Amino acid sequence: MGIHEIISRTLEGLNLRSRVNKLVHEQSQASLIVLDQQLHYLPKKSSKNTGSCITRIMLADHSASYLAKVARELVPVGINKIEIYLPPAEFLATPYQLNISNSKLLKSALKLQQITFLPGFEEDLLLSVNEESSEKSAAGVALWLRAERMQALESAFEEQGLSVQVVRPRPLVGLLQEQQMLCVDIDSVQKTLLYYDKGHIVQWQSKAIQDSNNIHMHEEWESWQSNIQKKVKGSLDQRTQESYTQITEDKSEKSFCFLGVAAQEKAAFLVNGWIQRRLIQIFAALTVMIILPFLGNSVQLYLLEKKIAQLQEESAEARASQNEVLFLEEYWSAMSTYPRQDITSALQALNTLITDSLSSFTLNRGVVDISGYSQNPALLIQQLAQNPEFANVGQSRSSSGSSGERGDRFGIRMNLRDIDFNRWDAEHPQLQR
Amino acid sequence: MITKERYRIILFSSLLILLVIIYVIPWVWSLYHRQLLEISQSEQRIQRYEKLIEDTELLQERVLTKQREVDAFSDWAFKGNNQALMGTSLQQTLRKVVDASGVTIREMSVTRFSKLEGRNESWTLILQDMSFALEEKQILSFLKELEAQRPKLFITTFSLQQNRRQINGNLTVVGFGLEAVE
Repeated sequence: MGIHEIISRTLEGLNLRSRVNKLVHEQSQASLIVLDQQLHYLPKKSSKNTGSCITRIMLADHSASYLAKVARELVPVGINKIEIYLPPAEFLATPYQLNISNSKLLKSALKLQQITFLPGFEEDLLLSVNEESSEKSAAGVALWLRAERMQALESAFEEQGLSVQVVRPRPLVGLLQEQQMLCVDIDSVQKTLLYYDKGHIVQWQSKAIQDSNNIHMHEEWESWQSNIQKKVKGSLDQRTQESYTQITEDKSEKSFCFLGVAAQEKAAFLVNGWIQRRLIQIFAALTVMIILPFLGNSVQLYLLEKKIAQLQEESAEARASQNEVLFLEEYWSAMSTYPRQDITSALQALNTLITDSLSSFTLNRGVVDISGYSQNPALLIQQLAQNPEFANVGQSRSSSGSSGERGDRFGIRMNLRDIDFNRWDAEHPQLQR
Repeated sequence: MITKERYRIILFSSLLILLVIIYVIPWVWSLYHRQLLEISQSEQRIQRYEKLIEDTELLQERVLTKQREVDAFSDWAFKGNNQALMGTSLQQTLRKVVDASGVTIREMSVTRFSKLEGRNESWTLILQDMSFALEEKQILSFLKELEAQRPKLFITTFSLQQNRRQINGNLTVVGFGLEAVE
C-alpha cells in the first residue's frame, strides 16, 4: 500500500470527503448555462474579469462534444474549471420520504431503492441530494443524472482543455442556500415547476411542452401550480430562455451538485497535500517544542562545562594542596587515628574513688573490667558513671557477701570514653591478625 | 468501508497516543530531568571550584601544618624492610621501658605481625604481648615510660592483678611498621 493510498484511505476515514466536495465547488471559475439554442457564459463572483465580452453562442445541439467545442470558444483563456447548468429535462427527480438526517446514509438508502423509484431504468445513475442544508427534513426530492452523460461531458470538455467541476440543474442557477423560491423553467422541451426551500427541493414537477395541447393535462398542471402557489404564498418566478440570458453573475451555492470525477481526484490530491503539509507542520512544531528545552539545557551544560574547565585550570594550585593534605592525612591515618588509651588517667580516676581495695584492673581495646571490694558498690558505679573518663558503666558480676570491713566484692565493666577500636578496624582492614 | 477505515484510524491513533503517554513522555521527561540534574551538579562543581580558589592560601597553610604533623609522626613508626627486624626493634624498645621503670618481665611472647591492606598496605602492625610483675609505686612510671617511647608503643590491652604484695600484669602493645621507600 503506497503512501498516497494510505492518505486517500485516511481521508475517507477522517470523513474529509465533504472538504473535497467543497474544494471542487470553490475551484469553479465560471458557469455555463445550457439553453435551448444558446450556451450562456457566467463568470463566478470570485473569479477575475478576463475581459471577454462574448457571453453566449448559439447551439445546434446538446451533444457533449458539441457543447465542449462551443464552450471552448466561449470561455476565455485562463479559465478552465467550469460548472455546467443543464436543462431540467436531463435530470430525473424522485420525491422521497425518509427520516434520515445523514446525507451519506440518505444517499445509500435512495440508491438501494433506485429500482422502486425508477422502475425499468437500467442505466447507471448518479444521485444528488442536498448535503449542506441546516434544515433537516424527512421529505424531499432527489435528483438523478445519467452517469453516461456525465462521463461524456467530462471527456469532451477535457479534450477541449476544460474541466467539468460540477453539473447542476439549470433552475438552481443563482440560488442561495437559505433562499426560498417557486419558479417555472420553460424551454422547448418541457416546463418544470420547482419549489426550493432553504436548500431542499420540496417540489419538482415537469410537463412536456408537447402535452400542452392536452386539455386535461393542462388543467391538471394549472391546478397543481395554483395549489402550490397558495401553499407557498409567494410569487411565481418565470424562468424563460430570455430570463437566463439576463443573469450576469453566478452566486449560487453548492446544493444538488454532480461532481466531476477528475475534478474530485484533483481536489482530493490538493486536500491530501494540505493534510500532509498540516501534519508536517504539526510534527515540526511538536518536534521544535520537544527539542527546544533540551537544546537550551545542552547549551547551558556546554557553557557550564566550559566554565568548569576554566575553573579547573585556575584552581590547579588549590587542588594540588588539597590533594596533598588528603594524601598525607590518608597515608598517616593508620597511625594518627589509632585509639590512644590513656591508662594513667584512667587509673588515677579509679584511685580517687577506690582506695586500696581494687583487686584487678583489665583494659582490653577500650573495655575496662575492674574488681575489688566496696562498702557501697552501687554508689561506686554511680560515681564512675559521672566520671568523664568512663562511659557505659555497668555491673559485670553480682556483688558477693560482705567481707567484713572491706565491704562487698564487686565487678564493674565500662568503656574508656572516645575509644573505638572497632571503627579503626573497619577503616583499616588487615590482611591477617 | 469508510466506517471501517475510520475505526481503524481511531484504533491506531489511540494505540499510538497510549504508547506515547506510557513510554515516550516518561522517557522524554526523565531525559529532561537528567539534564536538569547534570546542570545542578555542574553548578555545584563550579561552586566547589570557586570555593577552592578562594581557599588557596588556606590550603597551602594546611599543607605546611600537615607536613609538620607528619614530621612528628614519622618518629612514631618502626621503619625498615624486614618485619623480623621491626619486631626485634619493638621488643628492644619495650625492654628499655621495663629496664627504665624497674619492672620485672615474666614472659615476653613471640612478636606477631598484621599487615594492613588497601591504601594502607605499606603499614604493618607489630603486636607484642608481655607478662610482668611490679610494685604499685612503679605503675605510673612504667606507663609514663611507655607513653614517652619513640617509636611509639600503643597499648591495646593492659591488666593488673593484685597478688599479695606484688602486682602481676599483662599487656599488649602495638607498634606501626612502615616499609621504607627505596
